[in-house]
Amino acid sequence: MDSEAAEKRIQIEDLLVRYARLLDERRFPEWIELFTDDASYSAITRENLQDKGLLLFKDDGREALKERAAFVMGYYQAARFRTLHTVSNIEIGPSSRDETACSSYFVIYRSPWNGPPELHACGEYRDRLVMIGGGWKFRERLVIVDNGALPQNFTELP
Amino acid sequence: MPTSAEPPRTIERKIYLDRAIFERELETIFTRTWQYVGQAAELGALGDFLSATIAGQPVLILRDEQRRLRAFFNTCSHRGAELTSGRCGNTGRALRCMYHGWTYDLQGRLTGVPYREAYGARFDAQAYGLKPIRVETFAGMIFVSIDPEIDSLERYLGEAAPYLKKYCDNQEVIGRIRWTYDGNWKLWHENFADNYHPEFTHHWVRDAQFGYANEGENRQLDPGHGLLTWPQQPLHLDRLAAGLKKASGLEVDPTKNPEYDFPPFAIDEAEPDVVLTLFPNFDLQYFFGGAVVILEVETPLAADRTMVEMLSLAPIGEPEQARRWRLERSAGIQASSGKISGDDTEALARCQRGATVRAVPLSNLERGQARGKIGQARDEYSLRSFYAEWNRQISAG
Repeated sequence: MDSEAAEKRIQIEDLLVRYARLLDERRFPEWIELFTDDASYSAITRENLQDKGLLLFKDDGREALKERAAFVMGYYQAARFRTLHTVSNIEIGPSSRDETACSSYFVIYRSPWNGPPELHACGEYRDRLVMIGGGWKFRERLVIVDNGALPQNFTELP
Repeated sequence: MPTSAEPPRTIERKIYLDRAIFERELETIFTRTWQYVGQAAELGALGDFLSATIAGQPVLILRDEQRRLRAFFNTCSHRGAELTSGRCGNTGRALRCMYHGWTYDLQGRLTGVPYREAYGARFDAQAYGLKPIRVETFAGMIFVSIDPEIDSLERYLGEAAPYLKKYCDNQEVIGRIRWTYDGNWKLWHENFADNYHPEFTHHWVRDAQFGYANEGENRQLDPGHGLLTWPQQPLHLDRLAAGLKKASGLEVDPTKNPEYDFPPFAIDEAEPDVVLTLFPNFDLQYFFGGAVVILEVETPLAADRTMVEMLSLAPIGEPEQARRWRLERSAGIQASSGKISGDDTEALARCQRGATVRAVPLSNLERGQARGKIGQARDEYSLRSFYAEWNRQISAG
């Protein structure tokens, strides 16, 4: 791998890791800044991805992302809990200098206040990233959730 | 037409907790009712099958050579292994047990027994066919019952039949979402039969659907079913923005969120929004003149644990643009991930925990004091309808 490709890989990994940390630390305004203004953020279960494509949700554009953040910042009455997002198995896809596809695995744990951590969800992120203003951002993130059944509270952002 | 007993005005909270009552529900209610398992459109080809769990027991529904639906307990007559794996699939022209190879045709007759001679000349294959269960369809929906004596489906649907046909006829499944919660199955079904809670539980309803349930009706439909109707609400995106800001501090402009764009097909705004609850565990939502049609079935796993499966439905053969809108948008408020339903499981989990308090044993079901079966939108005729039938069935011999 040449040094430009290596540098690109490091930057992209940093983006994926930053996404996880900003969610876990509930730094939502900064999380929104990881997306382009016209970005699409959606989620689907693996079962529906392999069937007809029914989404859990689809957020298009900055205002939709802000609304989703506002839900988990107090609009929901459903309980909040600590999450831990891990990301791994990162594969950088076909790309040009300023755009790239990327896929990775994720595992999310939730830690209730009164018990040990529990597995919340696992699956795959499928991304399209663009280089804007010197840094990579998400133009599209599809969260593919492997769960055959969601947990009772799936309101935290995956 | 069976008439309901006098609708009760209180609920004993122990019915959400007590294991003996839970077992009794499986033996009575889940055994002696019709249970929705899927759309007829899902079983199009010879050998297509669906599996389900009824009263904790596995069942199988398939399409045979004469294009008839057949349903059986999903257990090999030999040693009991389930004959299929997974929620759905195609078994071809026969069902072959993966364990010892016993084979059945699609009518359930035992047609193959490897090394059959060991059973002797008196082995009677006819006695070892698959045990059938009742199966009927209505408006393109498949229901089964493990009670061989049960009344016809149409009689069981009773006063709900015309509404089910009107709101749900001939649809296909475009996706399924499942979730579990730590609570009794009745709590989720009650949540549907309840139009008192939405503007309090769901900030999105309070704001974006300001005026929700100020008009509308709440109805008992015999036997044990309920119907909730209310006028479609125009979306109050200004109120939504104000509510989001107050809760989060974020300035959000929902007018720029494509989630709130109109669907790419005409909507009859004069049609009411509808929830139809069928006894015991089936709930239908029909919103925006049918732009969104959602079915949910609650499966009891334990007294304090339930699986809900949500199906999004759509007209068979609809145009591609309409289909894409439904795939993208129909589940956004639903399921434990949804902008509305996400709050419901919180409410139910709290009710389940609070129900353990022995010193406060009863819940109140008194909204709507007028006699009869129809009340205002936030009344509880629909809930009392459910509990009248629940009482009747659970005490039956």
